[in-house]
Amino acid sequence: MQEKSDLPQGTLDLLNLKVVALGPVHGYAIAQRLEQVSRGVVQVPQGSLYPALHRLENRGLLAADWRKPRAGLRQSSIA
Amino acid sequence: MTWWQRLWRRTKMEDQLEKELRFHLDQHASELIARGRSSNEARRHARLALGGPEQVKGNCRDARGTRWLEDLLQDFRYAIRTLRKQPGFAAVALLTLALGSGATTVMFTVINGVLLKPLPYPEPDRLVTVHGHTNTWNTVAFGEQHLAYFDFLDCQRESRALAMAGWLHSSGGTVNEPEEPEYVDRREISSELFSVLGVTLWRGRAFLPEEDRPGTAPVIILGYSFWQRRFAGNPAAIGRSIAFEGKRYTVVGIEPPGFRLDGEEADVFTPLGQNTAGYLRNRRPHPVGVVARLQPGVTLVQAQKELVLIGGHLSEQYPDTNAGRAFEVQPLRPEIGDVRSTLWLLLGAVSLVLLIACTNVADFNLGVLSPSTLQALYRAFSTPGVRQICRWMLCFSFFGLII
Repeated sequence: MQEKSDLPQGTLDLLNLKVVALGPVHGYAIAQRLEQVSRGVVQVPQGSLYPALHRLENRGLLAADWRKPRAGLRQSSIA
Repeated sequence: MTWWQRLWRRTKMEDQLEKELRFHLDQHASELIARGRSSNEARRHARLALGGPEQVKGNCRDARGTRWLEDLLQDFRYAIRTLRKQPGFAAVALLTLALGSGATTVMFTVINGVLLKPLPYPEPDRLVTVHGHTNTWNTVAFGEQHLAYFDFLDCQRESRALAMAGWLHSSGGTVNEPEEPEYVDRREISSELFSVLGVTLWRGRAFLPEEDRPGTAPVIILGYSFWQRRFAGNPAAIGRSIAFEGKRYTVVGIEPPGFRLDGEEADVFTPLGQNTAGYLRNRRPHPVGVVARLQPGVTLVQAQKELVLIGGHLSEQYPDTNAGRAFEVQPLRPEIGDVRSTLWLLLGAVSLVLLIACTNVADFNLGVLSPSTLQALYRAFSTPGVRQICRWMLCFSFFGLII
């Protein structure tokens, strides 16, 4: 079941960047943080999260670090 | 990973995606279990929250922007598998495509060599030919009309727009010395020919204007192959004398290899002006071919206008011979005669053959499938899957073509 996001695409990207700007973090933690931040206000569908992260990676705004034991630590590639 | 890396390390990337999603699900499930749900329910809930992992992965792949290439590779692999299963069909398809593409390639090579290659002179687009034009001259039967020698001299003297040079494909003759007699091809050329064309002589020099007159010392320029044959490529040939048609000529220069005038490589060149034959000394016959170079800043149209004026003057001055005679200037093209249009026609025909070959192969593809599959295909054509099918067929044909 894929919920349709009621967020415009850019918003999710921006939120992701904001969360990652605080420090390297993996995908699930981003989802958690977004849920905390938007609880009761906005639903962030987890299914859109990873494609959004990949998109940001594609555009060079995020770098993914796979060397740590925790899968897919995302960190901001704009210092 | 960069886009490029993502393309080439698909397995690794898929691996990472899988790990990431699994990790996500595990984390979410653990969290739910910590809140009191049962293990199964937690997993189910986590999965639902994420959405189908395959779909998520698909969206991730889309986000990567390498989708089209991966699809293409997939189509290729499918094509290879299918071809391997039916080698007979594959052979026929390949043969058809090979024939089509082979013919087209040959045709194109010919066209490229003959029509598309530019002339081997500097600034070839500034080179033109000057033809005569009279209503009574049959161009189809006799070729382009040339100029009378005196007309050529007058045009050359009076023209400001063109630097002109003349040539004559007159009879060959026998070279007697050194060594055995040999019949050779000869061209008579005015002294400006090489400078107008922009050709540098291999050795020695071109004719001087003083030598381009009747009664001056006979000089001769050798063609490259002739020089190799007769003098074994000896540079000391310059200054030696050879006997041509009973007269002694001094060699003053050697042509560069491959120089062609009037479509052929000549053996020897003599000055046009030294020819005292009657048919050059009156204006009625017009045997002299003319090439010219547009002066800097002059256009073809301007040159044509000037020649119209000069032609008009000559018509008035010599009404018996020059009445109704005009001069035309046209860009210089390689001498291939009427073959040009035939070649383009052949190219078109062969391209058509190639197209038919490809279509046939695509047809074969359809024929290979069983009727039920065909039905499915039919239905598929009305769905968005069309793109997939078309891509598959295209790959099939293209793959065969590459081989």
